[in-house]
Amino acid sequence: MTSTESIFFWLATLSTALAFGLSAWATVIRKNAVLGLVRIVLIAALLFLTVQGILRWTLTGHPPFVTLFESMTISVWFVLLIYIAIDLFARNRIALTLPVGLASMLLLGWASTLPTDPSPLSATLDNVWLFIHASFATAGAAAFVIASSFSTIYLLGEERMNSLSDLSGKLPEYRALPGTILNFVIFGLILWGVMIVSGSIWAHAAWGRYWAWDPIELWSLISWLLYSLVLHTRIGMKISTRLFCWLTIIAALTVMFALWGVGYLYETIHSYG
Amino acid sequence: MRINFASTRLAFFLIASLLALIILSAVIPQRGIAQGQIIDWQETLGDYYAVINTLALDQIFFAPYFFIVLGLLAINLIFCKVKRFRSILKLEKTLLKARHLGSIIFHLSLLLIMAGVILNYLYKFEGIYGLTEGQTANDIAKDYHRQFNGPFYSEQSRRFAITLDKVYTDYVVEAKETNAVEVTLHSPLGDESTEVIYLNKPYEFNGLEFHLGPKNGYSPELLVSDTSGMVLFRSFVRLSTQKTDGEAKYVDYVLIDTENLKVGLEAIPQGTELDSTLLEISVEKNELPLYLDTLAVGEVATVGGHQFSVPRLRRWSYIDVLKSPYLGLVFFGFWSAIGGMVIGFVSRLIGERKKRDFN
Repeated sequence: MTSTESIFFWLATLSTALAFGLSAWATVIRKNAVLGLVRIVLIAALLFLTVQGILRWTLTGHPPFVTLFESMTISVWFVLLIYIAIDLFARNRIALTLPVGLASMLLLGWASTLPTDPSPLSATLDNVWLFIHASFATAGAAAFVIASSFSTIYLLGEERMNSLSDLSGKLPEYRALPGTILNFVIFGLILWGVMIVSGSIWAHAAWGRYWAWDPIELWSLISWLLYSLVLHTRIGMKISTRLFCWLTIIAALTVMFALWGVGYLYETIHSYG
Repeated sequence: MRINFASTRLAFFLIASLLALIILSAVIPQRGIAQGQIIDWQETLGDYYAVINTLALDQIFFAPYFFIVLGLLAINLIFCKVKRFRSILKLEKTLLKARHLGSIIFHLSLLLIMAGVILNYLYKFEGIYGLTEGQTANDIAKDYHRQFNGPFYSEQSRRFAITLDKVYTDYVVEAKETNAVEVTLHSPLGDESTEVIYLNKPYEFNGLEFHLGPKNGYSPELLVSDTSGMVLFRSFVRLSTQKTDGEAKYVDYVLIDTENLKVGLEAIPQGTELDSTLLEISVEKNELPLYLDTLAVGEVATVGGHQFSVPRLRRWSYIDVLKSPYLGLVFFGFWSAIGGMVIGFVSRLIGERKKRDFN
């Protein structure tokens, strides 16, 4: 990583840490004005990560999807992007700063412990499907992280959230949260589905097999099936909202494991460069 | 007891069972996928491994219970969707119809994928050639390194011969070096076609796909003769690539039973040029070490009344041959499933927005 890129990466990491710290403080002291500041800090983090990504893309000549470090930073970029989109268009917005700040800070912190040197694009990866496959994987993971962030807010309890809402009238409509979580689960399932489909088309072109039960393929399918199960239990079996929220958080852990944990435990053809 | 095949609870139970089986397959090493780990498990568990074996837990994706769960899931899907289709006909709201239609498209697409996978399995052909440069192989079972015919695959649909002209380890594609092979394919009518195949670039010939295989390596021609010059063994030996601590070794051995000889070969690359590669030859007779030295291509070693040499050194590669007649159905199912989800999701979002505006 060049020194300029490193500066922007650390600025983004520190911004997410600051955002989380301020959100936690705002939740305790119940000051909505602080949460407004957090939003600006998270937007700044997105900008820092965008510059870092562009610098890396320029340096390597390929989109930053190849190494584990790149996969993690691009996922945080998607998380922040989706957060900004929600902030612009949706009502359930400001309370998201706490879990989004926490998830982004943890992921960037984890990324900072990984080798940051760029890797050349191998012949296998040099395919247009890489960009489709990897973008949808990271965007899908981001959607699931956002869903579990909303679940965390819901599990914090209506009383705590309403006490914040009383201050400004701008905070989330607590009772609308389960619907929003469900939407993000479906959205994530679509993105994750496209990731699996594009991966299988690419695998067929590269190796002549569209499905090989490779550990990452397995865990991606496990995450996808788990979310399908969560969806069926919520829509078809009307499970309680609290259970639904816990399930989305557990399912998000399998997504993170599929993306970044499998390589630590299994030998896989999906090894990062 | 009457089973309601259109029940969501049954769907839940079947998806959960499928999920449990797949999680088990991620924990227990599966045959044909993680062979090395299976040996470790067998050594660790000893006699207890028989339980895994009996329950087919090390080949879950071929076990009868896996197919039973999939079959029941398919039946459940059909029943649920027929019921849903009847109910949406009665709906008046277009958005709600669209949402349910999206769900129906998605679930029927899953059936399409299942059908495609099954048909593909029944009618597919998979073969792997292990060829040395200059070698020609025919489309017959004995020439394949490994092959699999689907139960309904018709051999009449293919007939060809293949020559491996060259193996490249530094083929340049868009300024990047990659492994590649140049092959010539011969059809029964006498047509010939020469093509370079590399990762992400298979070649289609007579409805078959030719892919670059997962391995390549060195193939020295071992010549063993007695002092009178009588040839005892002469053949190219495909050295297998073994990686230890990230370093590749190219090794193999040959048994010459008539002489009780075991000849070990290891290629030691000296840079990128094939000609400069050295060969380490070890000879055992009656399991006693007789000789160990390094030879250049063309050099001869005389040991215990035998002459050993490597007149030629070439490269070899695996080449995969595939026919997947119903793959299009699987991929179509994939995309229509995504399409169904998108239709359902968008109509859900629009519906929610309208409801909110109305309130």
